[in-house]
Amino acid sequence: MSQKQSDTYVIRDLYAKPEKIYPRQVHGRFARLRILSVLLLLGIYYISPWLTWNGNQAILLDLPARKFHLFGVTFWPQDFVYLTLLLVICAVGLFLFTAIAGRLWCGYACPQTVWTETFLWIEQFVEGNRNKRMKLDKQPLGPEKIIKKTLKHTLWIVFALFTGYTFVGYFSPIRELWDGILTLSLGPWEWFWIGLYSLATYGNAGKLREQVCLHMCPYARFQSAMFDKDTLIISYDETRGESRGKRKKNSDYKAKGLGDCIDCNQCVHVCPTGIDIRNGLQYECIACAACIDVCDNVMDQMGYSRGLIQYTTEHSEEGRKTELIRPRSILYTMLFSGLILTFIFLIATRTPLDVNVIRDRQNLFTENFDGSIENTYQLKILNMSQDNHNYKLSIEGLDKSEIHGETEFEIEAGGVLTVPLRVSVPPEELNKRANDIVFKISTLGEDKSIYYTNAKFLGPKK
Amino acid sequence: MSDFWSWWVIIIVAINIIGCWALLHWTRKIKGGAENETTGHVYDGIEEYNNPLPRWWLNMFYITLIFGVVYLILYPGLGNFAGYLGWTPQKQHTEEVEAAKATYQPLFDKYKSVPIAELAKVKQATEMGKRIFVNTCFGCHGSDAAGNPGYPDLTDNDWLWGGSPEQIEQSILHGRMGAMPAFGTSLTAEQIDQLVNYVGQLSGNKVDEAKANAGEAIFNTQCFACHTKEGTGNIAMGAPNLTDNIWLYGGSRSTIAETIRNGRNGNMPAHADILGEARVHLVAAYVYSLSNK
Amino acid sequence: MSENSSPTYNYRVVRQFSIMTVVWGIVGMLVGCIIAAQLFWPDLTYGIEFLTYGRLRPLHTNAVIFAFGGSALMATSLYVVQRTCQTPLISNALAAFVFWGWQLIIVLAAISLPMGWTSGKEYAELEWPIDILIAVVWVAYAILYFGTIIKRKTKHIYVANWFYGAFILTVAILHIVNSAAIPVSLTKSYSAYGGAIDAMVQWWYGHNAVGFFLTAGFLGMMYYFIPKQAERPVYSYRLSIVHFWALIAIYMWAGPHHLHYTALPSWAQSLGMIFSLILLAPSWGGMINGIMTLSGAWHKLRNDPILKFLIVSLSFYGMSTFEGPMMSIKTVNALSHYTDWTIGHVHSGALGWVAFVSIGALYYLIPKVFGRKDMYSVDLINTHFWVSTIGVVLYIAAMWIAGVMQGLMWRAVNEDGTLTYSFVEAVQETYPYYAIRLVGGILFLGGMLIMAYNTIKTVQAGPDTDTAKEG
Repeated sequence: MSQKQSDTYVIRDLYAKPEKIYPRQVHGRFARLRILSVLLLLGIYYISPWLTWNGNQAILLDLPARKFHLFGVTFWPQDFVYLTLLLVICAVGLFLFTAIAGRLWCGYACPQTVWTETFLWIEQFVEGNRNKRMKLDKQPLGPEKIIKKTLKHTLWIVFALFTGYTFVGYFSPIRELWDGILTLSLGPWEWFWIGLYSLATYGNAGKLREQVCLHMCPYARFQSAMFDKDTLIISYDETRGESRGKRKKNSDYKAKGLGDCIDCNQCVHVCPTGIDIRNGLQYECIACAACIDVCDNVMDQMGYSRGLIQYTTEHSEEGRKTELIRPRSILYTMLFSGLILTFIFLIATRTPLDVNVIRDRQNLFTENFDGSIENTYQLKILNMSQDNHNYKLSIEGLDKSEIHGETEFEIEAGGVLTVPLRVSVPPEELNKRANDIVFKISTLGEDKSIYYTNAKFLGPKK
Repeated sequence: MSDFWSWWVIIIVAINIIGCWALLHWTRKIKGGAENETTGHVYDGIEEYNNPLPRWWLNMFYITLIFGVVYLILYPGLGNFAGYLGWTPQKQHTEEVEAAKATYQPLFDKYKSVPIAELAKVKQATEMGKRIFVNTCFGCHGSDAAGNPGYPDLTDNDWLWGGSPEQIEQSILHGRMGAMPAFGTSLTAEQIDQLVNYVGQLSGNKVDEAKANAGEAIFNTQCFACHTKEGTGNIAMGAPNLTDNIWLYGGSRSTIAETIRNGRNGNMPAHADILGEARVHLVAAYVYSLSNK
Repeated sequence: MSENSSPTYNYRVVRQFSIMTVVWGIVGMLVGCIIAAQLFWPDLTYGIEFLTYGRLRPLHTNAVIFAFGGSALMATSLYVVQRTCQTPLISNALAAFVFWGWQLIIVLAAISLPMGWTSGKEYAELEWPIDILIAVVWVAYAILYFGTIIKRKTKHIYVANWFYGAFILTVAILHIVNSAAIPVSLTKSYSAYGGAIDAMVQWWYGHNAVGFFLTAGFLGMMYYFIPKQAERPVYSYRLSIVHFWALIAIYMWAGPHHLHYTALPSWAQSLGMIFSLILLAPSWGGMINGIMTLSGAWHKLRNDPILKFLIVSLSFYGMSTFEGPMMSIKTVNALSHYTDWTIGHVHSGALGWVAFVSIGALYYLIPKVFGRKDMYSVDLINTHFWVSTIGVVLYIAAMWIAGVMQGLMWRAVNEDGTLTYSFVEAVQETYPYYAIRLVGGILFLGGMLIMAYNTIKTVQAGPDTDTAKEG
């Protein structure tokens, strides 16, 4: 089955410059949905760092201080387990939504799509529609081209820089950052990250675009592996469309043996990844549904019914019922909702207090003159809340134990206090070598939360 | 590294980087069939296309190569060539230490001239002193500074070398050497037992009167020079007070006997070089605050 | 070019290695789960010395890399070399020697490591008598493999064989150089190198074990089984040449990035870092070639779980080979090194790439060499895919974030410059992550058990008459 070598002797470059894609602007249901999604997501991105909460920046991920402020709650590195859970939820969510609705993420929500879309708007604003853009690129360098290209790139760069600035604004107070930019007094790392993120935005959304989806993105591959026969895909109805061909409006095309596809190539022109959906499902398809919109418009104009290209599933293409409820979707939904409930429960019951107990190790225990046994500990108490608090320390689990050292103390918001203390216990209370001891830290005042932490109290061998 | 090995490294690095460049260059032009035509080889049914690669892959390769070359010009890498920036790990370390000093020193300096007795009442200062203490001193004195056998309790008011702020700071800065000589060769077991009884009596414990009396005689010839006739000790040489029933190495009869028989060597290391004077000042304030609330 | 001219292929050794891949996969991953559980319950094995973490950990790494990964590589390489060279192995006796020799080595490792007989070199812990045995078996393997290539009936050598060849040749050199030691008794030896040189030799070996054992070898696997299963031609022949030569030339340099900010001379550290970065493009070359090979058969992904395994393995390969160069940058390394991020990175490569591509290849291979059309149950392959994917996600998410947390906690300082946390506090905070990781590991192991069941059922069914003829 090997193909014959061609007779023509060609020399080609191994590294093809990607053919520039000029997606045509689309209007329609799904385009509106995407515009909505783009505006919503970009809005969230650009506005969030400006929100305030009790006079502080509402979202501030303060890396040097290792404190992550989110709407009045401060998270510490010790809270990262929530982040793990969130990541797992995202992964399972991706599984679930992809299994049911295909590459929804790619088409509507992925940052690559969202920013590329915005950059395309700018491009369109400056250079005009698809045909004008193609013409402009073919044109030799002249005043018009120079002006338009300069304007476009300037707008892109400004937008990219603002994006980079906003990004760093999540990590460093955004208002001070603005002052710092105006007075050129930022630290080297802030400049570096603003620069890098701007460059990445410019490069990804302006230059690389669909190349990222085609060759670099692992999630694109993952999602494809998550498809089954009941997954929503964008598909061209071959039986209805073929054989395609040009015709006059209102002509009796069926008599000529033509299908509904008028071969206008609009679906190819609007595709951001430059494929022809009529060739079937391809890995390049990011399920943006631009081809559906444009084809529906054409069908309307021709007076044919919509849906020549449509969201469908393999099962429904085969004329079978699409099973929305199937073992996979049930399992994922259960897993997904279970994880979300766990997450909410954990966040709701989180005490903004953490205690670490470190037992002095150089001496297993000390025996006192009166025979009582002593152990020494360092308690590290972390006030993870945003207010100062008074705390009271007590012991549970070992009767007649006595604390030598301070048991009441104040810790300022976000403070870590080291409390060295010695605990003594009469020997008759100890019946093992390693005994369980529980340190109880109660918050005094309005907030009545209590924190327990387990440790060991060592005694002589019985 | 000798010149030979230096050049060896330089040359093979150059061969590798230039080799990558050359490889990309040489393989760039494909002669033969057009796109979507197989090479004609078939292996167990597998054929090969010769499709073009995305250009960004090539550019990425070039960028990493350029980055490598620039990095090797700026930083050490090419054999003995130290790099244009003259970077060394030692230098980076020194710079980081300097930067840390610049950050933290003002905080220490703020308290350096405050007398210890006053400083002991400043929360920020004692907290800092405590953090240094639980890092540096807890190994011997315990986290709560209440000591361990052989390592004095710093929370009571019994001081081997004196409990004034200056004396405490002195002890931490320059360390202390406490030496109790061994009497196991010069005294008999019986004499040692008598001494144990006497010393126990000094601290108000119940003892054998006769033995204690015999012990007193020995004490007055052998021990008084350091511990004084009254047994109250001497802070000039760190000789402990034997009348307060506080025992550095343990107060059981057998432990006291062992102390007399074999002697003891107490060693508090000097911390002037480890912590620096400013931080010692803070630790001293913290230790002072423990027994002077 | 006919597929039927293959009556004398030696499938026996392929069958043997295939089965043992599944067996050792289960053993190695079980030990992995035990040590993961030990991190959560330190007293799990009651302090029995043979089962302590320190002894089981090298058993885990050796079992999954050399027993599971090694058997998978030998099974597939000996299959691929026969099929693509259209010639049987040069010697069936030698093939049997390689198989039984390799199994003997694994058994010896499984005994000697719990006994505590170790040279203390990571991924090269086995003591000198076993090292010599490895060298002998490996040379036999090389003779068997290259001998078969020499008497091939095709004009050119298929690209999969270059990768397998590079793997076999380089691992031989790495093993012999790094294992050079002075024996003091039958069970103890000391490295022939000292100090920083020893460290450098060790990580030159260590990272090239990743590069040539876990990357080049498995790329060979990828280059045969992906086009085979997708029934598509390889995307770009020229790309395979370019990235092959770049990969093998540059991997050699990457070792020193394991020794950033150590006593290793600065020039070596710098070279380790820049060549690790340069490695990004050649690594991604393999990924692109694999993914683009599938591009014409994309619809098959929906229904073919074997292809799912293969494509996801390439995704993980791409992610790990991006993460790796980033972690080799000194500034990033200062945060990531010595944390569990490294463990997460290694397992995204080991589970996501190595295990997935091996599992995919085996699901293709096992029915072929046992004379069946398909595995006993395609649904079970699908289940295996989903169970292990969720397992990998849990594992990687937990370890990656645990690593970042540890890095942040270790470097946190108070207002006066003292460390905020002691080491043990970071350990204590890692407990929940260890629990999540354990669940991930158990899921992955569970997937392997499903595979074992499926394999047993397939083998038990015996050859079906139609496919047996095709061989």
